[in-house]
Amino acid sequence: MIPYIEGVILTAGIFALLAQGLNLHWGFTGLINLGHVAFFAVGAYTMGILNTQFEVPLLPSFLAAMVAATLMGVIVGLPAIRLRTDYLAIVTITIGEIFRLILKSGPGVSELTRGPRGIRGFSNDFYFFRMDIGLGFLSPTQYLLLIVWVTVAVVGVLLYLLIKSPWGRVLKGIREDEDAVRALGKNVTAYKMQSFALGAAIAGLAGVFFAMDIGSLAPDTYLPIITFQVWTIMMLGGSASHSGPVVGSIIFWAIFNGTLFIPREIISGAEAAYLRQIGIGALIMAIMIFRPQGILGNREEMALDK
Amino acid sequence: MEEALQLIANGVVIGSVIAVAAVGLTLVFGILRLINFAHGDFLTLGAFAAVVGTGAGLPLYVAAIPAILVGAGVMGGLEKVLWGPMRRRGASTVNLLIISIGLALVLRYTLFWIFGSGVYRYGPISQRIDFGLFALTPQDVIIVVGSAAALFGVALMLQKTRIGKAMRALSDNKDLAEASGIDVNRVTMITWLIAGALTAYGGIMLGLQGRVFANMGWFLLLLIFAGVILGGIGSAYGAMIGSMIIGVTQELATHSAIGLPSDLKTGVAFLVLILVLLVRPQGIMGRKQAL
Repeated sequence: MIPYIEGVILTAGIFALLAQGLNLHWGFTGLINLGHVAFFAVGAYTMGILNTQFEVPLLPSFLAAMVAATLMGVIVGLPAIRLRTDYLAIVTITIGEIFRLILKSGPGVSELTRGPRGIRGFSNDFYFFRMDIGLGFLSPTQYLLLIVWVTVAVVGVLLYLLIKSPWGRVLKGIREDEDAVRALGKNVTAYKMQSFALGAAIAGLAGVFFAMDIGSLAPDTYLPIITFQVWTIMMLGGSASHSGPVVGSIIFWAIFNGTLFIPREIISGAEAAYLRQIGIGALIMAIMIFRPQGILGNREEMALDK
Repeated sequence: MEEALQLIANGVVIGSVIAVAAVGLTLVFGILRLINFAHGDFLTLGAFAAVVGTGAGLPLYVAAIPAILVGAGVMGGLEKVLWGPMRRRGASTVNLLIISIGLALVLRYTLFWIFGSGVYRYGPISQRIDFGLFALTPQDVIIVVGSAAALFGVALMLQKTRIGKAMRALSDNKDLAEASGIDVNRVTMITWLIAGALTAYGGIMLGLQGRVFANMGWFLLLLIFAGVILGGIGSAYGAMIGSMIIGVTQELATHSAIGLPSDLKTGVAFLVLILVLLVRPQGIMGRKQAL
């Protein structure tokens, strides 16, 4: 039971981080990003490749992962961000898929990523490091859990301060009425890019933690379903709410993993997996139909009316 | 050259399937401005509905009829219980788009739940027939001819019938169409029914290529988007042309002179999609106002 709960809280932390990034995009800026998983993947792969093939130490490779995710945010954002919402949705999900295909079999890239076979062996240093800093009494899961949740807290405070600042007010202004903000002389595209890049960086860091959790990297882990899960979490908690990603993620993963307690005689493992996906879909629909602002969100602060 | 011709022929086959699916998607978009992320899974629904029939021993051309009715019925039913009520409550485009993502998951994994993750077939695939310049299986030929017939039917309907004209009018200018006495709700419902029937038909065509499995439509969705957007979103004829170009482009990308691994061929089509949105978002046939 205890390892189960730890597992749920760890996964919830990683996805809370992802949802914080997405919340910056959608909740606060009104950018519909359906390719979030690409930033998650770029963070994980940057760290993994640097660490295993170029022997870059952990901390620099963590930072490089965030920088790479930021760059990816800029690369995706530069062309995409001027598009209207529904096209932005299509472009971002498509870029996410292109990125996964390239990781899998891109000429020149698949040598680095080892294609579908994936990368292993980057997490040992990370877990041994806990001995050096006197946290040896924690299990590997507990240690990662601690780091992830401290990060969630730090990112949460940072986002709170940023959104309260004049910069954040401009983002919210863009979400409400882009033209009005432009009329005030603000460079809307630049603000959108900054929001996109910062959210991507947060997702990249989440990718590093996720890679440490599962201990290996494979392209087909990074399917669009991950993006949809993060959307569900963000909307469940409430978009444009600071505590929404955390609350949404804990509830989501408690329900999601709760199906493991259904005895195998009633529902087989494969059936439970399908039912979970049906549940996610039904949850997305139910939130959008009955309570688009989520549990903690404020109806006034929704980017839905564009 | 021989290789290129064969690839083009293969591209026309898959392009035909994409075109049938794309026309349904674009008709709905033209009238409702809804980008339906569940559209691919409606292809799968149609394909599996036909599997039930062929499994019971019916020949495919008979099993296709109830399958097409199921496709039309489910799409029409959803308009009644979901899309219509949501629109009347003033739901935005983005709100509906996110709902369609949830619907896609529900539909796809319900099919997984019922049929499992295995692969079904309508029947054995026959030997390829050599046409001289290229070779295709009889199934491929049926796909191309069957799709062309369906697309011709749609074109005829749009040009010649009252309902087709009403659909085009509504897609061009909703307010004007409404003011001139077109019953918007009725036309919307009929559009869904036609799109549902077409999509189920397209799903059967896709299954005829060889394999029916629960992810098949989802895997095709972004290619359908690519065809629709390349042609010009909202334009039925554009969707036909765009889908054909997408089908042929992704096959030609695997030509040995280019040497791209076949895993990446959909990536090429996706790239075309992105480039079109950046350079000419109204597509080949679309008009700027329709955006």
